[in-house]
Amino acid sequence: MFELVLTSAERALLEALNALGVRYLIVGMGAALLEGAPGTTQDLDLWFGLIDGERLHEAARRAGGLYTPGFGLQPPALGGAGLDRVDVVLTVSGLESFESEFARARDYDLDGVPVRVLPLERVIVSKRAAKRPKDAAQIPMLEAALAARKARKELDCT
Amino acid sequence: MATSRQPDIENLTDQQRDWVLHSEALWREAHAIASAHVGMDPGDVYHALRCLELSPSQRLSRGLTRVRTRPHIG
Repeated sequence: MFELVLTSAERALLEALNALGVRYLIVGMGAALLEGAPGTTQDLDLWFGLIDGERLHEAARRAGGLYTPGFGLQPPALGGAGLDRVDVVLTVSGLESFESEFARARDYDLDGVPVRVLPLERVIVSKRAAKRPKDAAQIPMLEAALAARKARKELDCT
Repeated sequence: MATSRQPDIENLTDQQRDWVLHSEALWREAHAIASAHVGMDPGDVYHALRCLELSPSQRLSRGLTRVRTRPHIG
């Protein structure tokens, strides 16, 4: 049985971002999961090359949520019912420019929504560079997934 | 822990037998892959190979630990 993974709000948000021409990458463990890593995460991290508040506000509105540009210690964020798993990412440790990473990202179909995803090998680079204990703990599992992926030459990800 | 003892697969259903034989093949493949990488855990490779048999949406669904807070059919 086909099971949807996104909430209706998450799907509406991604569709709106695509329709509005907002470029983003799924990064972090969400990307690693899509690439086949057997891990877990609580969030879907979206890395935006450019924070265009007007279009992010409109995308959030179409998804029934909100966009806040951030103030004080609150970073820019998307929120509202069904969007609580989405995190706005402004920079990713250890990676090249958004443009470079976007160019080499992989295309996936997520519940019928086309998305671009940071390749697993680049997720590993970012986890190493972050130097956080929780990232370091995930690296052996991510490297095993990368080895499995290479062994299978599992490059058809649609 | 690996064992050389053969399971009594004759008493399994066809579906169970297929699963056991496929699983053992994946473990063999996982050990072969891990042996080429110092310190790599064959168990991690095995679970990754299992994940690669799922669709991308299924992989993400299994790994997202926070439940959906809203019905997703809108």
